[in-house]
Amino acid sequence: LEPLGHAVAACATLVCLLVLPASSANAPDDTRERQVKAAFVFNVLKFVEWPPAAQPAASAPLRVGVLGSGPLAELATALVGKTIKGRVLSVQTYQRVDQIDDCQVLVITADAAVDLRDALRATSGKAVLTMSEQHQPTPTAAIITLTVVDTKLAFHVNLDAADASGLQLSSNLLGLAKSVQSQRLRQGRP
Amino acid sequence: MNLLRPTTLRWTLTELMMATAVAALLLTCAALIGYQYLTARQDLERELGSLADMIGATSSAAVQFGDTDKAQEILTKALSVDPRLVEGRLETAGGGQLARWRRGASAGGASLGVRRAIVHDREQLGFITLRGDLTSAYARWQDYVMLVGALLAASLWLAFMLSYRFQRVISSPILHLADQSLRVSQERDYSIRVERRSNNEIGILYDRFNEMLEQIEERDRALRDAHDRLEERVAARTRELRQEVAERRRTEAALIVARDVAESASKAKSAFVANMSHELRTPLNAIIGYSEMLHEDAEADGDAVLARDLSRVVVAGKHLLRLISDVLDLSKIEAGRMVIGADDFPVAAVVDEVVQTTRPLAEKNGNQLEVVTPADLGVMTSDRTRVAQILLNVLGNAAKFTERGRIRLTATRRTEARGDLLVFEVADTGIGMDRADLEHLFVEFTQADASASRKYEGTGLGLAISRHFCRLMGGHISVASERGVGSTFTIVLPAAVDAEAARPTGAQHLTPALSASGDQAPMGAREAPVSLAG
Repeated sequence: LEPLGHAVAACATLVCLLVLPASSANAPDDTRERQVKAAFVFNVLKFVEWPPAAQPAASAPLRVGVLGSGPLAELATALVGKTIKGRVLSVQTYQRVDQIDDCQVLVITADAAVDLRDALRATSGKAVLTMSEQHQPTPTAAIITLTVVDTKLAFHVNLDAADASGLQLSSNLLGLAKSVQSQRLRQGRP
Repeated sequence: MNLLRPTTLRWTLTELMMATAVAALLLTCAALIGYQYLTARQDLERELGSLADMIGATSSAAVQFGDTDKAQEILTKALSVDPRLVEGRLETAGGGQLARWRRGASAGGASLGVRRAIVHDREQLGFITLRGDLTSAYARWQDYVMLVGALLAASLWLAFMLSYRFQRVISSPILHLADQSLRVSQERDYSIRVERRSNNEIGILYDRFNEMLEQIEERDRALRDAHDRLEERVAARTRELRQEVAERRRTEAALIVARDVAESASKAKSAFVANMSHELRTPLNAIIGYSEMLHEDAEADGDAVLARDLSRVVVAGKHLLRLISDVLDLSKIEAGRMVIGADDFPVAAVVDEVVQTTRPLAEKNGNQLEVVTPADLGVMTSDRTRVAQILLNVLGNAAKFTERGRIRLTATRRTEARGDLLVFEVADTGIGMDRADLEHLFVEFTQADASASRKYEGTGLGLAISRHFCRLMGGHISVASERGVGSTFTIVLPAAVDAEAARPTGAQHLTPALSASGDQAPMGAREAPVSLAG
């Protein structure tokens, strides 16, 4: 039993390299890509814990805000009616940064006509999970940044940003990330 | 053990203890082995379960995101370490296979499978299936079985050694007791005692055994004493009996002598009486004869006084002669010398003779004498003298004891199967007798009234002699009487006396030794010695 236990423990700490398989083999197939990305966003939500203070009443829906257009903007159709931890998802679309109001998730599409930094600034200090298709150098990137590597959907995690907004990301999720940027992990590990 | 076929107590006890030990040990070992088998399976199952849970926890995101590479990596890293793991599989909730791992060098023996759900936030994301190899567990279990078997064998050996040693605690006192009881029964030595060594039931058994022996010993002693005493008593009693027997023999011898003396004396007396009676009659006949001659002479001379005196002498002499005749007859009868003759004579003649003789006496007392006889009474073959004597006696008595009365003699002849009988009946109207007197009537020297003897004279022998004669002739005499009314004598005699029947038999009261024949003058043509009857 002892060696088996050690094996499991070792295995759990070694979760780092992760490639997310995306079914969208063909770039022109926008619909397919949108569906995959919507499923990805929904899956990510399952592995995120909001701080208790930031949570609305249990009966209130989990608000997902989408800034900009493009494939991610089609989330509305994909997420409607689904539940995360017993809460129904509701989708809100924004065109401008100043439209952003009270939401728990903010998705910033690749072709949103706004500066990512402005959008992130609008939600800084709030318990909002930010997901972006736009790359931004760390440490000012979104908490989750989506990217496509070799036709496969992958993601980077800005754990510092998550810590700053009080969100907790499952280690299983971190294990799947292409990269994790975190002061905390870097200090904790030699 | 079965090969030894033990029959001794020692082996039985050992066997019993061994059986207990074997049963207990076998049960324990079976329980241990079974428990070990179950535990081995359960352990593997639990380990597989917890490993599956851990893999499920770490791979939840990979399963959720469908990351096959990551899933495969987790599975491989988790499973390859433990050699017991044979196969592992990750599936999505829909049932599609996400990752699969299989150990290359799998023996394909007995295995155990576990399937767990991968749950995240109460949501079932997929399944994990693990398969573990039981071969090593079984191998370990087999080692365990071997070890237990070895322990069992050692324990049994130890148990055997111990039980063989311990059985002595029970068996040796019992065997000791058995030995002692064998000695007791073989040597008949009841003084043997066993020494009590323990305080349990066997100790009690020893005590009882000793008590039993004590009782036997005591009884033995008592028996021997009784035996000795009995012998003494038997010896004493034998001595007594011997003395008694000797005494009786002496008495018997004395009695025999006395009897012989008495017998010879009796015989001598009878012979003397018979002889004397005979000797007496001879001079008496001379006296009577000469007295009668003198009486006739006196009558012829006309001397009335002398005639009367001489007449008295004649009467007295005749009386004396009759007396002597009676005594002679009686003594003959007693001496067994009376002989009954057998002559043919007409009955009527005897009756006439008797009546003629008695009539004067009867008429002297003023009696009427009546004779009733049929025309033909026929002939008798008997002793004429004795028949006449009987009739004279009875008729004379009737005349003597009746005054101014009637006397009737009846004679009849009766025919019966055995032969003719003559019945004489003499009835009078005389003084008669009481019933008490009748009992002594036929006994010698007795008259009904002692005072009557002087008045009526007579010897008192008449009826006794008559009865003897009747019996000797095969007949009998009987009487019926009432005082003051009269008497009736009945004499029954056979017409023909049977000389053989008249012979004395065992029915006679006197012994044959007494009926010895003597130098007796012949009395008739045919003589038969007879003995006194009654």
